Amino acid sequence: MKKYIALILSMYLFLACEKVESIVDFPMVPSKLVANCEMNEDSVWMLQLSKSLSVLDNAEIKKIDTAKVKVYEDGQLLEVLQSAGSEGLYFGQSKPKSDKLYRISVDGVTGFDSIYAEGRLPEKAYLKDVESTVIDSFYQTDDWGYSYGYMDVEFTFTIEDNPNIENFYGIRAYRLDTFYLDIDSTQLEVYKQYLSLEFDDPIFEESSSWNLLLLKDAIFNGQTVKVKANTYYYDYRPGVNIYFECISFNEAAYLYKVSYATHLNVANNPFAEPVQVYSNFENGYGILSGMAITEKVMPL
Amino acid sequence: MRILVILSFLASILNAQQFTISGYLSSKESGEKLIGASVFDEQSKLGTVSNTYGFFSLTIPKGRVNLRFSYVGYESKLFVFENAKDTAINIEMEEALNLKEVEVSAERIERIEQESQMSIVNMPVEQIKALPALLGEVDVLKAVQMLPGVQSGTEGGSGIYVRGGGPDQNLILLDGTPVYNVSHLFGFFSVFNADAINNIKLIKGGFPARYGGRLSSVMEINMKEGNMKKIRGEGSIGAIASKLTLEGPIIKDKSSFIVSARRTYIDILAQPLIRAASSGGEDVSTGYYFYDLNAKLNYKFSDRDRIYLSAYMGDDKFYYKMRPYSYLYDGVLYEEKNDAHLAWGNITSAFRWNHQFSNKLFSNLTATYSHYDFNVRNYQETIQTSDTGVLRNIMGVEYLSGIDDWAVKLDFDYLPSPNHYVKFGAHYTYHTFKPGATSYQLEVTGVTNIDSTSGADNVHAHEMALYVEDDWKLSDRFKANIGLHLSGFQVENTFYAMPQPRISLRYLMWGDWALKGSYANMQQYIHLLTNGGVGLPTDLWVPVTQNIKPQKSDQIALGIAKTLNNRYLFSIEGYYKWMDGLIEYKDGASFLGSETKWYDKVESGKGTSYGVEIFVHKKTGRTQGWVGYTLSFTDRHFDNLNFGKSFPYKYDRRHDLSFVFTQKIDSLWDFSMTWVYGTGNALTLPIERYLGLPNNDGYGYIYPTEIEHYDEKNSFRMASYHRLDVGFKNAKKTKWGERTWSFGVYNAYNRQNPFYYYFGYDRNNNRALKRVSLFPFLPSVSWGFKF
Repeated sequence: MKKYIALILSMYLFLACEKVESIVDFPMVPSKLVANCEMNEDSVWMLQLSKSLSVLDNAEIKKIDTAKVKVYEDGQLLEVLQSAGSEGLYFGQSKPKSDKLYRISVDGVTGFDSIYAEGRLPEKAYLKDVESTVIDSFYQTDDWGYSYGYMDVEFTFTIEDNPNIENFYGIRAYRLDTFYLDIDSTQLEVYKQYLSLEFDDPIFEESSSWNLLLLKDAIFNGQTVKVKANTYYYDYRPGVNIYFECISFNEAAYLYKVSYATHLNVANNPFAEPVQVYSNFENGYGILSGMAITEKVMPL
Repeated sequence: MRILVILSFLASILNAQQFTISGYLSSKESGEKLIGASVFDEQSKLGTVSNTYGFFSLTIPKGRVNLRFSYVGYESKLFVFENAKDTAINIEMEEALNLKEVEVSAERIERIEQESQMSIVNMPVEQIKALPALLGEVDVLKAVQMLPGVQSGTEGGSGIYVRGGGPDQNLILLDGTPVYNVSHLFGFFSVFNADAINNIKLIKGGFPARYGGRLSSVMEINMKEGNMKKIRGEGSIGAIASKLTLEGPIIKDKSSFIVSARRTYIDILAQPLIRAASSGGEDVSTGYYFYDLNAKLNYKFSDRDRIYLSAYMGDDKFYYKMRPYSYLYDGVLYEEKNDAHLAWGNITSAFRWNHQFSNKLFSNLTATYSHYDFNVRNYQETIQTSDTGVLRNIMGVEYLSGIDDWAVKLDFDYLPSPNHYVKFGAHYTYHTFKPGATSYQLEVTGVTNIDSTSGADNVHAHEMALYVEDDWKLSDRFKANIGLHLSGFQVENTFYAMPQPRISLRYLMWGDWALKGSYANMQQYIHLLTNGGVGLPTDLWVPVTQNIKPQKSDQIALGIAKTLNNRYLFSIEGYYKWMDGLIEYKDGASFLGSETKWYDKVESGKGTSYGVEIFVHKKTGRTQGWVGYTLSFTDRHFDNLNFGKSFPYKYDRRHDLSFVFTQKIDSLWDFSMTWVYGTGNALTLPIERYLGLPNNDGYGYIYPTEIEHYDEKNSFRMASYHRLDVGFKNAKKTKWGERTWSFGVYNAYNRQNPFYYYFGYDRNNNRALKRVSLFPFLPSVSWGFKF
């Protein structure tokens, strides 16, 4: 009798704990054009064009290099960007200017609706009283000849903000470093190594994305903002320059960066609410963003 | 108090030709007080109902009275006498056992058209206990979910969503004490043990002024008081839990007790399997259980004074414990310990004192305590003993949150004449919110010693309310319940106060069809931060702050109601509800994994809900049950969510249909069946992926980025939910009492209802959206007894 009871109980528990999975019909939505263009008054026009895929599609996302990409400045055609090959990149000759309204339209791709977006470059941030203080540092060379160390730096600065408009900023800092292109190479390439940053006062912090601190002007109009930078690197050498950047973003760029950073942070968190990434291309996806960089070199 | 007595005295002078008949109504078998029983004089056509404590008072003109007392499931009683003086009369009513359908008129039929209020449902507990249940475990809230206007959350969950409101907007009172988390096992069962419950009332709109503090519903659950006549017992042994209830007199007809306990035993059954499965010599103990315990005592000093002491305690716990074990390695003795758990639970207790000042003035003083806590803990300890000494490594993390309430309430029922039933009173609650603290313990002998706590500090708040309401019979056809609830909330340096008017009207049209309308303004000073619909104990109760404003709602409702054919309570109601001050997590925010304070993780917004509910309810006779249908539309609007566009609420459910049927076949067998249908819940899913701006990783590498595009928030609909449950009961008298075999089938046609969705891969390694269903066809059997 005990055996039967145990058997019934086991079957029951087995049934109760069963988790049934089934495949659900999910609409395969038609692809749309995707354009990404970062306006910067220091760079010529560049746009990357690709197409979206259904979330169920395993294929690699394809770039598109056969489109007509037109740039309009204050309603007048400025230029048609030229395709530069299979990476879906299109380049122009001119650079965007502040105080102009730009519109980018993409069409001429069979099977796709034309897409467009509008935007302006933001005003450059006016920085003053930028100072840096090394809080702590450490450097030594080990028995193998490798040098390593770390450095804590604090930056203070003031952004003179235009109080009449809403402004959006990004703060980042980097140093220049070098690397060999490949193992046999003798030629050193220079690259920007960005430092990890955090605001001294959490009220400034809106979000961060890839070592870029993002903030809106609403809470600090005219105030001095302190930023702490901490970095640790194996080949630390005293006496390098740190480049401190304050990037002024237009609203679209800011919304994109904040939403993308959050989107990425919660990608695998089942308890977090999913995040839509901001897009401003009508009839498609992508971002026409604008930024203006103010840079200060800080010898340390 | 003296003023009240004088008022009462003046009223009796003004009604010089009228006399008051007052007293208590109770069950003859158990002495249990009968709540909402009807007292009606067939001569003057005047009547009243008994209150929560069974007290009634009816003032009627001098002369002959034909006084009928009636209550659902009991044989009605008629008293004929000359009303020549104030009379105190206590009535004991007999249960109407085995009444045939044709004899149903002997029972009292609740007449829905007589009530001035609308959007109220009284659920007989016996009807709930007759329904088929998940794994044989009868659940009060699951029965409530089948009422129109009430939506369930996800598969199996016992969360309730009333007229587009959130789970925090329900004031669930157990003997007058708010219960903050009503879920066991992530919501698959509720904390209410049906064996310990006497009465359930749900109010969805047209709230009387005596209630406040929540926007969407009030559910009053009253525990049984305990049999005043003799010792009785009731219990059952089921597949996952067993329960036992004992009740009886301490002093016959003067004092009684009831104790009811329930515990699951999945952990005990599974323990040998877990031990067998664990390898490596560790002695592992892991599992899950929940239990709850209800207890109540009452003592009757006299017909005028009675006290009650009731308590509830319940806990859920998932645990993993590795018993200390040691091993020798390289001359070092290692001793290891590991202990982790996730636990949550409620404690509520209430002390009540009923006092009858006069035959027209009744008071109840209540002092309550309510506690809810949730904690997750992980603790690891390693001790290394060698020739050089002892090294101790400890790593512990604990997350705690909860809420504590101390409250006192003074409520009065004043019945100056049959045309007025006045209620007034004052409430005060002292809240302590513990909105999430994480403590870390890190200790390495001689190296580190960290013991710190981070997160939000405890917040103390004072909530108070005054109210007055009158159920006023303006004429034979026109009745109104008019009231005002004035509440205030003090938190830190901020004080919120709000007068909340309430009105319900009833007009009896031709053929005794009642036309009913109501307006209720509600204000809520506490919020629940919730991540999902799975009744997670991680949900966090938080108060309003200077920046996070109170939730408010305005609800209007209009409907018709009538008792059809003396058996069926029929109603159609339409409602529209505006809500403001709702909070939601910001995009990407989560309860864990951040030191950000809770108020920096939320957004405030608005919501609307409107719909139509149809309800036909039969509470008497051999065949009982109900049919409910709801058509509803619910959305939310947050400036900083969904890029400022309105979006459907997660539980926006266009259609909701329930069919509940119980049939007494003969003296041995009962049959029951429920079928529910609901439009699928709204969900946010990505639909496409595309390339974003390339990213620099900070070390010079530029990466292409891929973005999953979510369409509008909650734009995807889960598959519709429908399920058939069937049950049979066989009850047989024995020498010692009664035994019952209950057989049930949950999800009789094995519908794969959605629990959650995720993106995975099919057999061909193609990406696919997968639906996970929890409960397939699930038979159950339990054995019950009564003595």
